Amino acid sequence: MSRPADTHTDAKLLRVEHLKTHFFTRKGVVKAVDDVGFTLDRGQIMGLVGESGAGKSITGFSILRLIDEPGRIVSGRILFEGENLLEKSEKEMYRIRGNRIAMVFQDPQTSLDPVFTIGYQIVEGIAAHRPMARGEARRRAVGLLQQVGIPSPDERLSDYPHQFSGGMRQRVGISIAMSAAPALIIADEPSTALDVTVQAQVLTLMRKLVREQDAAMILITHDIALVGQFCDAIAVMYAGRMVEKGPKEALIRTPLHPYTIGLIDSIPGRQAPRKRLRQIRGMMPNLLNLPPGCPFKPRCDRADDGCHRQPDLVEVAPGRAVACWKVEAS
Amino acid sequence: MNPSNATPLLNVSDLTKHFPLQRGVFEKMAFRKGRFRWISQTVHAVNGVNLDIHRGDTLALVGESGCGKSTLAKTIIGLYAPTSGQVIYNGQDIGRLAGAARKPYQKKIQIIFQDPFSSINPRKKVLDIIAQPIDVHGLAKGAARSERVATLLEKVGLSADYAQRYPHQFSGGQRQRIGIARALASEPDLIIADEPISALDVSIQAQILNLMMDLQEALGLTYLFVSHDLSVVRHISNRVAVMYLGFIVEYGDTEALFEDPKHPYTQMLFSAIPSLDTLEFQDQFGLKGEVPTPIQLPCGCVFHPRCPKVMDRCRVDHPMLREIETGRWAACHLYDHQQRSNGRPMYR
Repeated sequence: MSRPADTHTDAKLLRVEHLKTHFFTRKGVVKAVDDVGFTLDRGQIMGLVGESGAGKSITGFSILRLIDEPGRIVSGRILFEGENLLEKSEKEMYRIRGNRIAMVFQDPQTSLDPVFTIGYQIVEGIAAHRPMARGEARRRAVGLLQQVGIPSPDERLSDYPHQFSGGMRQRVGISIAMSAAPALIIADEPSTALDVTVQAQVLTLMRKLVREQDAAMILITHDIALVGQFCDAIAVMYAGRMVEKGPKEALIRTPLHPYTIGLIDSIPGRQAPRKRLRQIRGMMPNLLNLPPGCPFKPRCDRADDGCHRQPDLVEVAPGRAVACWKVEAS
Repeated sequence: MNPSNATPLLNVSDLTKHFPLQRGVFEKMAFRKGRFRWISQTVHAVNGVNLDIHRGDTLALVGESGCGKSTLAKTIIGLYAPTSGQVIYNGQDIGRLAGAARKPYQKKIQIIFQDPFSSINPRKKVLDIIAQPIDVHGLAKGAARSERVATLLEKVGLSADYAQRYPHQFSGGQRQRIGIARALASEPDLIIADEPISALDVSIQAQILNLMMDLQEALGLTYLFVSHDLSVVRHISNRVAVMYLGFIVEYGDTEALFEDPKHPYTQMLFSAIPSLDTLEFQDQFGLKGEVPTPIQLPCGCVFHPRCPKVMDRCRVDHPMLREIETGRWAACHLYDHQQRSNGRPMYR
């Protein structure tokens, strides 16, 4: 696999190389993430797009080394601030998680503990990484809640999660993630559980905080239109592999991989109303039973005999890479 | 609200659905004015909705979660009894019919649910799932029944051999096709689709939408399409009703409404939809706040606490849904002066 951006050894915040995370189940090996690589700069927001089962969440969890049995990171390197996370001890990872790399989860309802107050949970997060007096931690918590736009934060600290609305709970989740001023935030479908008007507010806030703190963010979502609004770069995953990546504008305006083209074409609202939508036929193959060669071959209109070999992600233009034999040939 | 003067297939008139809030004994009691009193609270899910659905139309009901769109759909199909108001199908008020009296109308109105996993019985074969409306209404027996199911399966793009399989052998998209086949089994006129594609993967959504549009054309179906996904609504519907806190705040032809939304809530909602036309999110309409609880509705216009164009009058005076220009209804004081002299009010 050629990774164009690697040629000069600059100080990328995150560099993932040849990452393979496989799950060894009784039915066989599920290659949930198979040879994925990308880089991320400070201040950059990357959207990781794909359907469910494409491996986007597992990629996120792999960076934090939160892969449980029967899954295992089989090979690859995850260079974060120049150090390979896969070589760290569990104790070192404990200090990195939540401190240098934070996570925002999909459902704020389940990621907050219902029996503790919001204040307790934020203070717990702050104190876990930096020992400080309770009073000071509490003052920081108020500041954090203010930053994420929760009105009268001083009083809300003693409220329980159920007393917050969905959007407010997600703001609390963001404030906890931001509490240690992390360099990298992994947001796994942070707005999927929210209404559209709230989604726009929450993502605007996240984008602002990431820019202000010069952090970087990986936004994992299935919604390519959403990624277009809030990200700088986009990577598209399909059946455990990265099929296309590039700067937002270029990737959305001129998608190259047939899957990305199909994904963008099948969004309603851009085509003649009340007419049939262009659709991708079939569905994503079972990861236990992948077709040989290009995983998209069975659904691809352009596939021919040349596609029985697996294509690598190849740079086709500066910053743009595609894993498709047909694109490479042209 | 009927541009042509034909009688609508379904007419919803001043429909209200409130749910009493079930709470414990002590939570129901409050100390007020010197003694303990019982307080009763209600969820105001649907508040005086008027709607017409014409034969062959696709009317989309859009709004955020908790705006009452699903409750309205379920009240129309009879899963809830209305608190007040009427559901008139072909000239007959079916809102309060139950049991045998309702059965002939049940046959004509069917529903497709959101979640294809919980809405079909995992212990039954596909044959028996799809045949259920046929059995309930005694439409066919024995070989004729199996044949009808086979035809239905082919109509929704599945192989007729699938009749002997169980739901777990199918993917989400295929299960939704089974749900659609079941809804078609009693040959309905009106299909209520309650978020039929929001549980499916993006590439599968287009397939199900295409199927629904094909079926509409082939069978002359009428859809009430409940969805929060506005790009889908723009594509599939020809009329849209926007709901907020149980009220319809704007209604009109789909293209015109998307081109030029009038109500501040519709403007806010539409500006928040991620689209591929602009690649950098800009907050044009002052997005703020969230949908308040439907237990205590804000007084005046229910949208006034979030409205960027709020006026004094909005805090006290509830705006009626009125025709502000031909074919467009909005419930907003901004358009008070534009009220058509013969503007037909939709609320009493």
